[in-house]
Amino acid sequence: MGAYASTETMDTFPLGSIESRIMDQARPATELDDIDGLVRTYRARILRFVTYSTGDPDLAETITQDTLLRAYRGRENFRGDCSVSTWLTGIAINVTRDHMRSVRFKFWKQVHASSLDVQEMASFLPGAESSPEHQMLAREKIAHLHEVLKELSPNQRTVFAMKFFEEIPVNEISEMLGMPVNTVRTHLHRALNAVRARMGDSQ
Amino acid sequence: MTNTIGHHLSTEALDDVLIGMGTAESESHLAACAQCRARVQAFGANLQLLDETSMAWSRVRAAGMAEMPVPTRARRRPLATMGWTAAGLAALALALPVWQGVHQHIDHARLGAAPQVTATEPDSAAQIAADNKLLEEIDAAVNSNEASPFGVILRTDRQAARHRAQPQ
Repeated sequence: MGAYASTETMDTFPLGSIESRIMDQARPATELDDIDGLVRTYRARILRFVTYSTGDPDLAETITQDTLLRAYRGRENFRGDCSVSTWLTGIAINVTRDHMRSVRFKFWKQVHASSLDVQEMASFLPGAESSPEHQMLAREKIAHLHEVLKELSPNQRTVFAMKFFEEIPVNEISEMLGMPVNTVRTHLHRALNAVRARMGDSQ
Repeated sequence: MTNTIGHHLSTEALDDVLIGMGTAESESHLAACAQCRARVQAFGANLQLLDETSMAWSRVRAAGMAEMPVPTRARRRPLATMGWTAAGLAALALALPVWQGVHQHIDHARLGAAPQVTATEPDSAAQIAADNKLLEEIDAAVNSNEASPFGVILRTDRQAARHRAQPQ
């Protein structure tokens, strides 16, 4: 399992176990030891990933907080054989799965589900100095891309976000999600086909 | 598998390039074909747009999120830890004698024997005589026929009640 074993076994290793203490002694201080810095550096990134993965920004906030807390508490499990960002993404995936499995989540999802507001997000378009026409075209593109992502399955969206936002290589995505490389590749191909179908030649 | 349709990369080959799984053949084609390169770059530009926009949105949203419930276990609360430790030790100090007393009592009750008292010195003859005298006085007080003040009060009350109840 290599780099991501730590994220999957985190819940099975009680904190303070002999293994953890040995690892803690051996582990040099990292940015994971500073929770304020961790939040400052990675919260927005995780929030975005989880928002795309779940399609629900409110739920994403909760998952993001849980992810950072779990990462901080289990920081001795970080072996440094992948980037902190990738490690956090792995934890976010596990936390998201936990939330999705819970009965309470299923109930809550039926009662209340917030969705990503495309117009709100489009208002954050960079390059305010560009022409109004250019801005309008860019907004349209963002809206189209969001429509595409919305129609993808949760797995496809997660894989898409991991690949194109987090820039995680396909083989690592495969390891993190426990999916064969070809399945990851198929998810990405479907996502790209959907983008192509919606955006036409402009993509 | 052929990677090209006519003179250009197939859609599948192009997507493989986009997801970082392009073959050497596709890569060398891209290096030579401006049209295919333009398709890849167009997709990259759209993704970059989405990436930047969504990140800007996320930064603002994250800034508005509630404060992290920071684990206080190891942070800036050494006094609280010391306080709890002291309280625990104090409770232990109080509980230990009680526990010992209870267990001694249980043990003696189980064995049917009086608690062992470690005598330091035997009683003197004078002490024994004084104790005996005290015991005799107690015995005399218990067996005496003198009316107790409580008895007097009770009898008086009963007599008065009886007196009130009788018709004149």
